[in-house]
Amino acid sequence: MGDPKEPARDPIASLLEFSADCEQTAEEAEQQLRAAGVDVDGFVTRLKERLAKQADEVRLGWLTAARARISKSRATAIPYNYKTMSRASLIVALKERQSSPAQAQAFFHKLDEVTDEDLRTLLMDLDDLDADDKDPT
Amino acid sequence: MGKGRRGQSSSSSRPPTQPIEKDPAKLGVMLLAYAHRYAASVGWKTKDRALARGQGIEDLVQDAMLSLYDGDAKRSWDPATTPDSMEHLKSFVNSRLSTLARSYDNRNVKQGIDPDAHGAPENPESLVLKKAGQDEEDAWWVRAKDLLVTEILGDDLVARLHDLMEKEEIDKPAELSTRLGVSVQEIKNAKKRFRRAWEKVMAAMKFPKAEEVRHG
Repeated sequence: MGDPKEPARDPIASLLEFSADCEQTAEEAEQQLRAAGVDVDGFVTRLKERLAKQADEVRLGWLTAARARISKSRATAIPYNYKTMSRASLIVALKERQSSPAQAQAFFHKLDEVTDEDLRTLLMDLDDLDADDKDPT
Repeated sequence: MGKGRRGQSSSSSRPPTQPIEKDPAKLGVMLLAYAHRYAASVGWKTKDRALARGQGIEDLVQDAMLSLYDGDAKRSWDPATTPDSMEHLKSFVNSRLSTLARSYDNRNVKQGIDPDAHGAPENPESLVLKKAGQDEEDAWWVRAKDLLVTEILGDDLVARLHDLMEKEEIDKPAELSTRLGVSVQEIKNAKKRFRRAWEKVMAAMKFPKAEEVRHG
């Protein structure tokens, strides 16, 4: 008696598996698929689209990674006081930093459209400018 | 089939007899044709009609193709170990289809142990419908097998291959050629005739549209 755990052999399944691996040219493969009713042209189009999309992702992968790194480093570099300030406080702080009221009015008239993150960045940029002014070199 | 064949192509260790194809579109078409053939055996074993006819395997083939060009993929191609990309692609397809077959087996075993554990409770009407569906399914497979055996019986060498495979686990053309006393080329031709017989049978069988599912 055979092993009771071993399922009975199915010669058709064996023949199907055996005959799956055969030498075939691309043209023969295409004929086989068309005979089976497969939309070969559609398959090739969809395949090319996915390959192109993947190539784009691979090509621009470094850029995505670099952007993520910059975004992370900027987020961690924001001084604690800016990080915790409310939107209203950020706008007040920015207005106080402007030397000319006219300039400030022109500069800030679109502040409502700027995100909190950009307000913090503006303040950090002004800090950098102040630091440059103080630096004699 | 030889033990250990599942999950990898049988010809991975031998040098390719054809030039290595590099055009992605042609490689994709060749792989899709291969996947159709391999899916037939998995579909036959699991009694999944859609899979036996190669339906729903396009996504799987596309995934395999992407693995050629993405070094970070889980099953990416390593040309150092597998110079012929087609061998890598076949191995990818075999692995995914074998996993599909195993999950099917596991599902059946689980349902066999505890049939009430899944789905809505049965009622007389649903039981009748289920039985009718199963009868129709069984009849489909019986008819497919009858038609295929009829085709095989008309081809002496394929019939002898069938008998040998029923009794012994041999899947190497060279060994089969020795056992059957014919050339390796004749074995390869018999393979192709069997495939044609299978395709003829599948084309002749009715197939409900509702079963055109995707296996991706």
